Amino acid sequence: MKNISEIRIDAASKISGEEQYVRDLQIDDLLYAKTIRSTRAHAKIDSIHFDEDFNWESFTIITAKDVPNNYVAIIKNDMPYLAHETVNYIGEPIVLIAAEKKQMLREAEKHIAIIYEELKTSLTIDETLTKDDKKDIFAEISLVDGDFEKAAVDAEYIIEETYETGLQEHVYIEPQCVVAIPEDNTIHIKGSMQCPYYVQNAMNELFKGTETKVDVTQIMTGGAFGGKEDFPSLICGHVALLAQKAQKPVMLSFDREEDIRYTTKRHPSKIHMKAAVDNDGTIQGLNVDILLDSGAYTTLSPVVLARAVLTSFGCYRLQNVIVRGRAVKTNIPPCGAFRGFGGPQALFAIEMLIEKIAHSLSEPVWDIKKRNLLSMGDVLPTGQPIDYSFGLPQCIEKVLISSKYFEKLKEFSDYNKNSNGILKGVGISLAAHGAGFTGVGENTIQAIAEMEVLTEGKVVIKTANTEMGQGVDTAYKIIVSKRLNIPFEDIVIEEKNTSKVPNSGPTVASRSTMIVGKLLVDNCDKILEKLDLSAREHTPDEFKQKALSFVEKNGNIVVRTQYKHPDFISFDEKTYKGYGYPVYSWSANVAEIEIDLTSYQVEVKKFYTAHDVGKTINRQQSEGQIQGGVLQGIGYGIYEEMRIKDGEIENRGFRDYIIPTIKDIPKVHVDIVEDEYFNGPFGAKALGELPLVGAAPAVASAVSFAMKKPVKKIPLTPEVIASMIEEKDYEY
Amino acid sequence: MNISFFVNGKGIEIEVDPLDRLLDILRDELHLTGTKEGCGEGECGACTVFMNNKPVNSCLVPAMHVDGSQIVTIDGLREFDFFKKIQTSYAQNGAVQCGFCTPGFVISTINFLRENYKKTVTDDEIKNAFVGNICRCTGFEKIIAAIKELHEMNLEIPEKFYE
Repeated sequence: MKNISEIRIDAASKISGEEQYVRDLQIDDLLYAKTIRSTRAHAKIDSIHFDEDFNWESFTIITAKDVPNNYVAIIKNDMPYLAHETVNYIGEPIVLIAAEKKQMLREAEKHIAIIYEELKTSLTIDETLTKDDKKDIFAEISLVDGDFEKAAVDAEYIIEETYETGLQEHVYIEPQCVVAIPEDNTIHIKGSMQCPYYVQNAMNELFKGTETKVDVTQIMTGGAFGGKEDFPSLICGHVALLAQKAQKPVMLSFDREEDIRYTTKRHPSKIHMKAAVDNDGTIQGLNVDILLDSGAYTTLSPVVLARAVLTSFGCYRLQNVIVRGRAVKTNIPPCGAFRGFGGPQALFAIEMLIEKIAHSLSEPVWDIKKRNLLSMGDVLPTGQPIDYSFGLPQCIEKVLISSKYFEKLKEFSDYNKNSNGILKGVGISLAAHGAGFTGVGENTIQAIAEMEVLTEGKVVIKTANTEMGQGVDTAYKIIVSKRLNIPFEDIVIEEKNTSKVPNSGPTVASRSTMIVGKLLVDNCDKILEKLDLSAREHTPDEFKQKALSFVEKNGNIVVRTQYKHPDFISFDEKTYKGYGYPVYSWSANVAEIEIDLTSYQVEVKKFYTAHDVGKTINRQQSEGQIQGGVLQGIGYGIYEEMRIKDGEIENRGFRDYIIPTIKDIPKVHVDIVEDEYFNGPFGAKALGELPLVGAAPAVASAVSFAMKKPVKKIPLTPEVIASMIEEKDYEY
Repeated sequence: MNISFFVNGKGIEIEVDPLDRLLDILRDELHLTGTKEGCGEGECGACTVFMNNKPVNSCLVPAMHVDGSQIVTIDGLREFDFFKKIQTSYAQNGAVQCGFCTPGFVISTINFLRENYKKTVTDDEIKNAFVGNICRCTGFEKIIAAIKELHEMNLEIPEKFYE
């Protein structure tokens, strides 16, 4: 098709409010569920008391003893659906109740008492490490390239620092919501989720050895950002257990407070970086120690850690590298997937270290970046060569021009000399994001996408990749429309139901367009071959005629393609050598900020970014993703702070968890670079996460410039700015 | 208590608890699900509806205040011509991603267009008018582009939607 629309296929129904999210479904005989949670960060459950004088007849109740296989199947299977003997964080589910009205649940909750026996807590990474217990390290990774110790001895300078980042909450506007509907011995689960097959696998494990069968349907999802990747498996188990016992549909729908306090968050990090540096600023060696706070259970921490390790190189040419990464258990709510997935933490650390090197050598930041910049033909510390789809140089060129970075450096420096009250800053960051799963994860998943040509000539796309706002449904229609040369009206997206679509893998890791989109291209080619249209010179009408007559004679055309990496892409998980990712997406970012010296508030005034995404499938929506991701990254950098006191998250809602509003947005200038990836659909690679990754370091760089002080942690709240001004600790 | 009020032009009589929220009455009792709940504390604006022609967060309005009022929700605005123009502009500008905040933004947009009909507005004035609507997906830029485009179209919005 020549003029393929970029307008989202779900725009009209979302604008009119007709789009159905889980909570909008009208379900007969519906029961509502409530979770009774631990009020202790670490304790033995001595006993659970149900008030004998309370009438429990109209309630369905589940405790750990009712759960057939009490673990949420994910990586390590260490998290129970309901706590049995011990609780490991404040908010851990212990009892589930369901009833016809929400008011009944609120009343019933008062009649349940849990008696605890307190255990020693460990609430921070440092506390856990002091205990020195191997069980508390959920994952450990080590990568060695060359000889750091020798480089350190030979180098002119050793420059080191410890960097810290905090929890971040996703704040999808639709809170978590799932429903289970029993029918004979099958339970139909419908939910707001990213990965129906993750939930399906978890449910298969939960009911293993019983008669109960489950199928899973994703309903239009009102934002997710990783927050609906691993977490829904837990609550889908909850509603499934209740529905099975009650033999009625059960819905669990979180209010905002419950969502903010008890769902997964971005892992806090503590990263020590130590560089061996030459006189001229060349990095001769790098030693990185990454610690991620996983919270109470493993969830996805090993893979989040893997991405943190592989992102810690930044966009620099490095040799003599040691990276050690550990994901550490603490008694806070479990951390999980969040857009960027370990990348934002590690990139912040490496970018701030470069700032420190520059300052230590009295050189401009850009000079140090440029001196150590990765270029085509270089090899990463993993041994992976950078020899295709490397658009970083064009990104840098574009952002330096659009932002007038060098002029601003001078202008703001002059301004700050005479300023009283406002400091201005300009900062720059470079970011890489590995596209798709780490290592050869895709070969384990073996994603399958299917397409079917029906009797009426319509083409059905069958994948498990879910629409959560990122525009995947529209992107898939564009890909198929372009390849088959047929209009949108003739393309149907199959419902994301595990009994209807194959497992094309989870909707995560910026993989849906690149990996599954490519499978669709291959499926299209198989269809064209069957129809004898391989030359692709047909009109939409010719396709339809050919398809109709073929289907009439031979029945529906069904084609499937399974993903496998090209043979040269291999990765050794023991040594961390090989292809960390099949390809990387790149960005260069410049932030302009102002710091009010009365309120200590940082404000981002302008933001310039250039992203190399291989190829844009939908330019308008790509820009939208970038604008939104940048803002979420700015939030991460300066506003979004979760406070934990004695293991309890203190934030209750939007009044005390501050995210950027329309008044806080800078003007965002977006440039898109297209350095095509040979194995993506039309050359496309990753997009979804990258915008967030580079934003906070660019802002932090600008703050560092304005204050002439190092930035060591984010978010840069007024309290942090105040301590930067006052404390000696913040001298270079 | 019994209350009677109008929703999208239709008279309703219903028994409620005085502290029930307007949002729950609309969604659970009347099945008008176009209005969404994002935060339940009046901060995100996803539940915005018109009450006596003024936008309110329906999660903050107790049932006892609904008695005798005129409520208009997104569900009751779909058929108006001006709504279709708003729908087109939001879609064409790429102002929608996950869509959960969108109906609330649309109500605020209608109110903004009515209050600023044929007036010049600055970017800051636009931002101030939408400070009660939170979007986490788009970064707001494309929403602002749609609002500007609509404002320049001088769309006439009626004083009242229903008699």
